[in-house]
Amino acid sequence: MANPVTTGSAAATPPTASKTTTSKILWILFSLLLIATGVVGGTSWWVFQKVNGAVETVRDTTAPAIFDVFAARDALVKADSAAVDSFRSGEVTLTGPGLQYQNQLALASQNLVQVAASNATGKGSQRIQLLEALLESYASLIEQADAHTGTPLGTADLWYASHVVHAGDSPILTELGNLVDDQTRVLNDQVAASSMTIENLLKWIAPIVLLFVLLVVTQVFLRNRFRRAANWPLLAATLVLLGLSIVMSFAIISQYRLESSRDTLGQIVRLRQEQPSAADIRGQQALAKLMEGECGEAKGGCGPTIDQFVSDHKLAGNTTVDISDKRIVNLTAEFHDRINNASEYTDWKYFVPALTGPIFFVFIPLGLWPRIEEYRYRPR
Amino acid sequence: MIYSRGPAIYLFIVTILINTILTACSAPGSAGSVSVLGSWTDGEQRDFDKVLKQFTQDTGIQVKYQGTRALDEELASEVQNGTTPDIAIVSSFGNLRHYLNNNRLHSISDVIGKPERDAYIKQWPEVQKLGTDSLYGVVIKANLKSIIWYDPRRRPEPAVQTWDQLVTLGETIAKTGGRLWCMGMGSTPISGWPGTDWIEDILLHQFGTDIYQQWASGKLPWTSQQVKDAWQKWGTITATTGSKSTLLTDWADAGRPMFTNPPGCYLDHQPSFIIASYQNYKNEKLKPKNDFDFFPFPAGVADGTFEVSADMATMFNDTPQARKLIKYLATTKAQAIWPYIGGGAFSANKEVSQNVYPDGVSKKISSDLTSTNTLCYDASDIMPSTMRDAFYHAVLEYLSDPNRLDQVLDELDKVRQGITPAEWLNIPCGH
Repeated sequence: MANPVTTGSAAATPPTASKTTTSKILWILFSLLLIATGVVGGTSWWVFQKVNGAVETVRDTTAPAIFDVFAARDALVKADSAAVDSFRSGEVTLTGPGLQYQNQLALASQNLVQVAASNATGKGSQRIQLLEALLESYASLIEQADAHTGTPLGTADLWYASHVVHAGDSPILTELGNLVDDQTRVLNDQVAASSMTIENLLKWIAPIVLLFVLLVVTQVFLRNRFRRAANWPLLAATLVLLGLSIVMSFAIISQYRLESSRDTLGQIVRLRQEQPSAADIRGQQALAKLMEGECGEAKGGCGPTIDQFVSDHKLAGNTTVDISDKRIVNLTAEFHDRINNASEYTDWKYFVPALTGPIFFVFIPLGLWPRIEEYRYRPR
Repeated sequence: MIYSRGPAIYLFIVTILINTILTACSAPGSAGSVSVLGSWTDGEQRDFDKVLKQFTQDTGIQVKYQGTRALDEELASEVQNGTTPDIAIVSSFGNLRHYLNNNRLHSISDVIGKPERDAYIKQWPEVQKLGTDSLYGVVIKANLKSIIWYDPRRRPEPAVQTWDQLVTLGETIAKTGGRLWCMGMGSTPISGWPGTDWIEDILLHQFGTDIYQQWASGKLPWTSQQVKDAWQKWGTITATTGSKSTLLTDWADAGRPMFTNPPGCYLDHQPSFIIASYQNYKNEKLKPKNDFDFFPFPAGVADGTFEVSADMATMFNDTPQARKLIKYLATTKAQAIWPYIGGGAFSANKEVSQNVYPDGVSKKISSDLTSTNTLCYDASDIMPSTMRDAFYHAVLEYLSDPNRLDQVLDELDKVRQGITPAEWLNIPCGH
């Protein structure tokens, strides 16, 4: 790097007052550039960390928890339906509630354990405990129904068990629905926290623009003062900054994908919450038929509760949703595509702001320190 | 000029500071919060919220209410996890003994003043003391039991006053192909409790308060002649109702046939909170007095004696906010809010004016809860939870197969013997 003092040009040997001003300006620019670099590094890291954190949490924790709750629900209604079928066919006297019931109930339990593992809400753990207690209560009633098969109490136990799942106060299906609502609320909060609001965009863009302006101003200042075409280290820093800006725009794309995956998941949740599953309807209709058969022979019938239940399920329509429903399957695949895509935009790039920080801290001193050094031992 | 500005600026700054402090103090939530766990959900929760809203308006303290029907499980879980609510509103006091023994429950003797204590007839403080010398709870909602509901336009004649008359009336109606009693045991996950109310009422009114208290506090065996007799007497009633129908009907639905044409049954043995269910029967606009009314359970040897139950607020965390809420809930002002809303809520506070109750039936219930009647707390609700659950289940077993009574009572007595004396509550009947 050429020393302007030794070149003998008039501009390179300014008067003392001018030298002092140049020295001050150089120090000010140097300090501002370092501060701006720190701010850019911090805000870029913050933006990436927010978006990447949200994407990872939704992909690995909150969304799986929601899917696990639905899986638990599906397994439970299948277990209940299988148990009713066993009682209706008389198979219960030989094999108890049946293997299908046992397997599906175990699956429902396992799904709840998985929900507990990935549960994202404080309230959720209390609800999961309640659900586990209700599930135990349900299994115990089915066992009792099995033990009392052929007696009025056996029929009543089966009915009470069904109530634990479907009706009465705080049935399991309602609690599972509440658990989905809890998790969905958390998911929405997580996505909203990294949302590209004007405020968040400004927090990210303003420091980059400031650093860019400072680099340009410094470049112009050095050019005017020292008559150089360009300060190459500062030019390199400017290019790195532009590169960082491009990488940072991936965070916006990632956030957009995250929000669209949230919307898709919202559609899945709505679809599955609004309509009962086909297995559920089948199970309840089978129970209604079983009760109707039992009550025909009973003295005084089975009372108003069962009469109403039988009448409701005779009229029950077929507006159901099944996990094999094409729309659900497509939406689920769409959700996974979008969330994985969101993740691809941020995963390794997460480290870019961390890497660019040291680069700036190398290039900026490299560009300015020789000029500062020139004025360092001059008389003030 | 310069010198006169100093005090003005000083005053200005002081005013701003005072305003800031006052605003901060009056901001929502600045007075802290209190967490409450109770069993009320949906409509009942909305009604209770109105009681709590008044408290927040008066004190600025926010109340975080969580309602769950699986209250016992939830409370046990929260206590175990160290996330105990500040206040729990419970109706089955058997579990409270356990929390009391483990020092989880705080006395509120120094929270409730004399005026609030004097506002209750003697029996209610006995309940609130949980059989100890200290006060542990405030009854928020009291329920009158030992009553039989009927449709005034279809009351079967003659009006009955004794147990024998009641049995004879049932037999007479059965001969004509009708059914006297509406009955349903369903109440998942605690099916069977309506049957326990029957047995308790029969034992109380046929054998008196002493026998009832001995039995409720675990001192009288289930296999005793008196207890067996109570079950058998109930058996004469259930023989006419059909076991499947009784087992499979939800308690709140049991009274529906009473209002059909022709009626499917004529009498419904239910606590006072059934009013809310009657009023919510679909396609019916049932009104107290016109459509339903009650008479007391046949007195036997215990005339003027009623079984009662209640939802009681108890303090699990001794915080200033919890204390304030407990104190507020005991006041006549707070006690009057829910009865005024209606829906079968009654206060045990005798200072609550009868005028807050919307109809004559409610006024009569309120009067029975606060007058000089002898009140005995629901036995199953003060039994340890193991005993209570076994009792509920035994009712279902007995209904399914009345011939197993001896075996059922033996099993219940084994459960009783397995419970240590320290786990039993002893709340005497009183007035």
